[in-house]
Amino acid sequence: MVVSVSIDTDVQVLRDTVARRQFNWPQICDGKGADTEIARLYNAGASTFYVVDRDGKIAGTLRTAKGLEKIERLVEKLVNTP
Amino acid sequence: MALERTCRLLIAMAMTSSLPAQDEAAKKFAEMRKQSSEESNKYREAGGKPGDPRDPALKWAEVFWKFREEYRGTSVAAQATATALNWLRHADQDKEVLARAEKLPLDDPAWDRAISGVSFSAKNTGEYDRFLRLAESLLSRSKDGKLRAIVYSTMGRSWLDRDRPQEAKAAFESAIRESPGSDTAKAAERSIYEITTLAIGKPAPQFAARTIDGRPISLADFRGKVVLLNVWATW
Repeated sequence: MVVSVSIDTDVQVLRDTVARRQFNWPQICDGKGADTEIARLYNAGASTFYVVDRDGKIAGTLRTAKGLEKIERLVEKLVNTP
Repeated sequence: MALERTCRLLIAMAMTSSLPAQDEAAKKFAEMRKQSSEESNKYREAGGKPGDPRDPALKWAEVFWKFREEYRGTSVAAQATATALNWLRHADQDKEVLARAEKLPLDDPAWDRAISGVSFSAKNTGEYDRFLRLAESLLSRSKDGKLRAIVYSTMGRSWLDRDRPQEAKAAFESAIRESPGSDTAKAAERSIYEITTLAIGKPAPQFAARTIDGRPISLADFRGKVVLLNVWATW
């Protein structure tokens, strides 16, 4: 399950990008930019990933766009563990 | 009296005659930034790969480095130094970034802007200790609280990248001590929050929001599922 939260301040730009790139998972954006509540709760700037396990616990994080494989492997492992 | 007045006039003349030089440097620097961004964006949008000989980032890194040398002593020279190193990193020349950083004098005014880029390059090559040595040299030499806070906070992020939250927390606490109330200190506080509250194994903070389609969504909806939460921007 992927959930994206955008810190764009222009929600229309975000909508257009989502439509163009055909992202088909939940997109959250309230136009408040980096001040949006979820970004503050997760101390997240642009390009931050959090992996949450089935029990709602944080299982991993990544703060740049490089090294996505580490996150992919973690998600795969968690998904394949009942 | 007359001598004192002459001296004051001479000092005033000297100050005003150096101002146009500063303005000229600032103007040139702003132009370079605009042009370099445009060229780099165009190159990447056309599918250009970082570090390819045609990557404009390589050319611009040298242009900014020459600017640094030509306008030594001006405030834009410090910005140009950091910008040059950023362009090198953008072109995947992380080893070159580290090599140049290691040759940069410890009292160079560029350090407060350049240190975090240097830590990124060290992360990219896995040579964290090279960054750490530079950071420690800067700390042993500088008494400037603002710079020390920046160095400590950059060390903190570097420790976090290496999964060493205890060392990271200590570094962030030092950053706060060195420059309390500053933006650096505030970011350090948020990082400490991240280490204590957002650690692996801790409950992911609950949220309730709406998707851009207007549907309510909350983290609790996905209990029993693995969730990848991604915070991003289109820019």
